[in-house]
Amino acid sequence: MKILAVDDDPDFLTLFESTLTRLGYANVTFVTSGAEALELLSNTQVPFDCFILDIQMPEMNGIELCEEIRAIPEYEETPIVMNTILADRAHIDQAFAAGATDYLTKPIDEIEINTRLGVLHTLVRERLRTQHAINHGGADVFATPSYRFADQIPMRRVAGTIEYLALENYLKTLGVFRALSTKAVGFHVLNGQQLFDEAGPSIFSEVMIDVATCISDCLKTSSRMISYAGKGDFVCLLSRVEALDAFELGDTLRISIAEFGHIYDELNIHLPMVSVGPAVGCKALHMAAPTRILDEAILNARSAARHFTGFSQSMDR
Amino acid sequence: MSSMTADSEMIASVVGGVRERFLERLGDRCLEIETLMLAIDEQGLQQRLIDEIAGRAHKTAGVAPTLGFEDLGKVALDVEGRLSKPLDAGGWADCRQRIETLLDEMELALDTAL
Repeated sequence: MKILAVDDDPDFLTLFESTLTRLGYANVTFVTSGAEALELLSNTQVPFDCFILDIQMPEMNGIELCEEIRAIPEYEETPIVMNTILADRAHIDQAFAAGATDYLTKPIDEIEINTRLGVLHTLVRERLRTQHAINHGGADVFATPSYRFADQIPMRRVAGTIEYLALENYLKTLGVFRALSTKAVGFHVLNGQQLFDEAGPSIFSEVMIDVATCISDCLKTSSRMISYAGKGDFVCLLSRVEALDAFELGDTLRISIAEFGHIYDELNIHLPMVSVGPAVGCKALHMAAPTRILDEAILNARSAARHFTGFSQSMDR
Repeated sequence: MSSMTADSEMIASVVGGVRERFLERLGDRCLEIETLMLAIDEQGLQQRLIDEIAGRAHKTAGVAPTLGFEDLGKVALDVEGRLSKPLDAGGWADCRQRIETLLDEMELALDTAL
């Protein structure tokens, strides 16, 4: 895995390099500023597989650098790990919103680094395998990104969206108080499988991006975090204090989606029919595994789908 | 020599080198923070001065525990956390005391190492 680590503290970089080498990550490049990192990216032939960025750096901080890297098409999906001390808690939300995939804490904790980079290494290997299949699978078949129904399609261009893995990591970073003040809302596209089968992976992924856009528009709060979990399931994290009526939100969402009707008519596909589940608050029993609220929110949305009367009418179109 | 021994020696060598450089900078950092505190006393609570102190606390907190200065790391982390929040005159008085503690810890680390 080819890693680029950016930190303005040379002492930290030396210790970090020693730790990464010991853990088997030998292909690591170290630079001490955001400007240097961007300069390197513009001149690199073989792209990096992963970035590790310090949050607090002079001139361009790690969050700004994260945004800059995400704006480079080649690095839209590349894992970005923020490296920070605990006092940076306030910046972690911004980092995830800027496109970070995960975060590491300073001072160096070898076990934590090994665990978190291990997960990302697996992800990178999987993506490289997919890329290899695309490159050797024939241009016609793989002319556009090909997703399976269960895949988590990137939603990068929709405001407030983050990768599902990043959403899970974000939940794990919350302390007890912040976790208890968070709730998850699930959304389920009832006719997702049908849309996938009739329209194919490419159009299906565009339809899911449309749905994400509508969800983002309907949730006016700026602190929302929306993620696509695959299989027509979305989940959104909100502050617990925000009032939310699932029925009302569902109606607003369906009106918003209906505005895409003429486009779908031209494509001869059905409108996505979306159900919204009641919110799931993080309770004490979730603290050991806070990501369970995401699963429960999705289950709620799927349960709500059973009571969704508009579905059969849509299917008859 | 076993590979584990070689690894341990390599780690000790890297940490030793960084520790030496860190201590060299720590003395300067101490004086810089004192100067910045005096500047705040004279010129009032200016954000750029607070940011300068926070930056030095941040760098100290990032590596001190790995180099064996755990207490110094904790105090530096606490100072950085306090300085990252909005400060009024009353808040600064409390924070100032904590920065004094940080300076004490820095001096203690230097004394222990020398």
